[in-house]
Amino acid sequence: MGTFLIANKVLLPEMLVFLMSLLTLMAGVFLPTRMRESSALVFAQTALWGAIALAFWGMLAGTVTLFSGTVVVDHLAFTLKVLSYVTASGVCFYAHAYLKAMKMPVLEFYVLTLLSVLGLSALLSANHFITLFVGLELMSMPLYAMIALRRHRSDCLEAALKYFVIGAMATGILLYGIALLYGATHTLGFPDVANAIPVAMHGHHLLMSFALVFITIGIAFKLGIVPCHMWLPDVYEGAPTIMTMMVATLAKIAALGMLLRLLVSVMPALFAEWQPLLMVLVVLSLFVGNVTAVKQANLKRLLAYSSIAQLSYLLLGVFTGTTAGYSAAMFYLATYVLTTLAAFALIMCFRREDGEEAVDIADYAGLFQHHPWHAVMFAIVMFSLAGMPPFVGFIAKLQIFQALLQTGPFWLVIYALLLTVVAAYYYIAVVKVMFFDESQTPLRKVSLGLGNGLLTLNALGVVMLGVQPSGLLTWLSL
Amino acid sequence: MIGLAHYLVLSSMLFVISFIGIVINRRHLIVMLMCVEMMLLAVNMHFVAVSQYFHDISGQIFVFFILAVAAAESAIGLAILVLLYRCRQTIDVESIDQLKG
Repeated sequence: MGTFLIANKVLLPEMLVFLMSLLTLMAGVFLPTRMRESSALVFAQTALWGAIALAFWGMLAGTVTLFSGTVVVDHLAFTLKVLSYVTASGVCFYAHAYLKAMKMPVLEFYVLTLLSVLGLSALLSANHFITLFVGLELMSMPLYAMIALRRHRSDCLEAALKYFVIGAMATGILLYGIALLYGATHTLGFPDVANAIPVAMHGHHLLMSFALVFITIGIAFKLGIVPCHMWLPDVYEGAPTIMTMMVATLAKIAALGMLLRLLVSVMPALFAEWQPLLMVLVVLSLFVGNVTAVKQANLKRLLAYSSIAQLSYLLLGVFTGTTAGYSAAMFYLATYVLTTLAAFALIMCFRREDGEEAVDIADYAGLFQHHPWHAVMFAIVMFSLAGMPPFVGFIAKLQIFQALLQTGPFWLVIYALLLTVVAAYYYIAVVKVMFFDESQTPLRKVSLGLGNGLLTLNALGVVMLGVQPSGLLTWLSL
Repeated sequence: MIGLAHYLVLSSMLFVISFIGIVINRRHLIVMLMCVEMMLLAVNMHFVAVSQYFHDISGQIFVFFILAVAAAESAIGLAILVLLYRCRQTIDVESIDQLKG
């Protein structure tokens, strides 16, 4: 009975999110039409903020392992879960007015978001390969469906199809890696596998290396880093912007969670193998992401390539193999998520004359003359992504480089710094267009409803955390 | 005598065939979905073979989860495919090129 109560306590956030998703579904059937949409938002926000409170309460019990060791709630799971709840809550606020304006189904959006967040929580708490797999799929499938929510637009459908095929293939590759690992260790629980790997390494070294490569490539597809990145710009461009925001935040939280769990907790014995593997991925992604972003004319594609580059800094933190590096990667993820939310919310604010979303950089020429505050917020976001002080992106990059300097290799630090300069060029080019170019036709600004206030808070948060990062840094350190 | 190695070789062959099918398939999207299914089935075969050989039941339980999830996955994939067909009146892979990349 005692164990059951503890189980209830630490799993209450997931239970709440699940129940509220069902309740939202019911609201769609039983409530009168005019109340449906706002009540769905209220349910979603209640679920997410309730889950945050319950997660803090459950964490008082310390690290807990449940259900014969298939689920674990530790500091890594707890922090990333809270981060994902906050992110999802922000996405829901931004989405509300946008969904109506775009004539997308509102209720389905909230239900699927809650289910996706539920899957993400399960994935982050996984302590067994079955839990990991089920959580990963529960997170991904609502995302496939949500990208296709604008079902009359063929570019959205194409993005959904591409995301689906690549996602399914990545799952297949990841599973094959897990199957190979199972063949070598004959067990599926994370602690058991971690213990069995050093023993199995003597007999099955080649098998183990193959398993590692398959698992890493599977995660690389989910993260969208070179050489598994071809789908990313297309999905970013084709998906409705609110969905791009989700793919760019929730899916990345999942990928870092998996990376830290699988490589760091399960396969520390294979460190000498996975470190060079990560190095190849980082070197390629830094180059391709930053250099290709320079010649993009579409802002969403630019952000896609920039995300490839941003995530490679995050991988650099994992690459170091030290606790300082992992903590830096966690901090980098949190700040990246915060900045990305603001970036896509800003894109959602503007429409062209014909009512389409303004996605070309040229559309934003002279934004400062018509909408000065939004132009300033754009500048804050771009400078933060470029890693300039006093914004939070600077602190995040600083943490990564500090961790990397302690372990080396030194040339990698120089290489990453040089490519940061390239990155600064294309971010500042966007800001230059907004502030100094002449505008042809002024953009139409649309209200995000509740999201307007949140957007201001979000942009100011990027500055405030840059000035005062110590609280978040301590909370996220592993 | 058919041993563990035969099953593992077969499953890895299936996996490679399905992977190639996804990557070089230039004709039909349905074929692509079939390849995705086959990839998961190759993994299933690997799990069952290893699980049976080492008398560890957890691999076979994993297979049940994969089967269930694969069914859900193909449902979503076909739903997107139907929508795309309604929009464009074709499901050739070649025609899916509105987004450059």
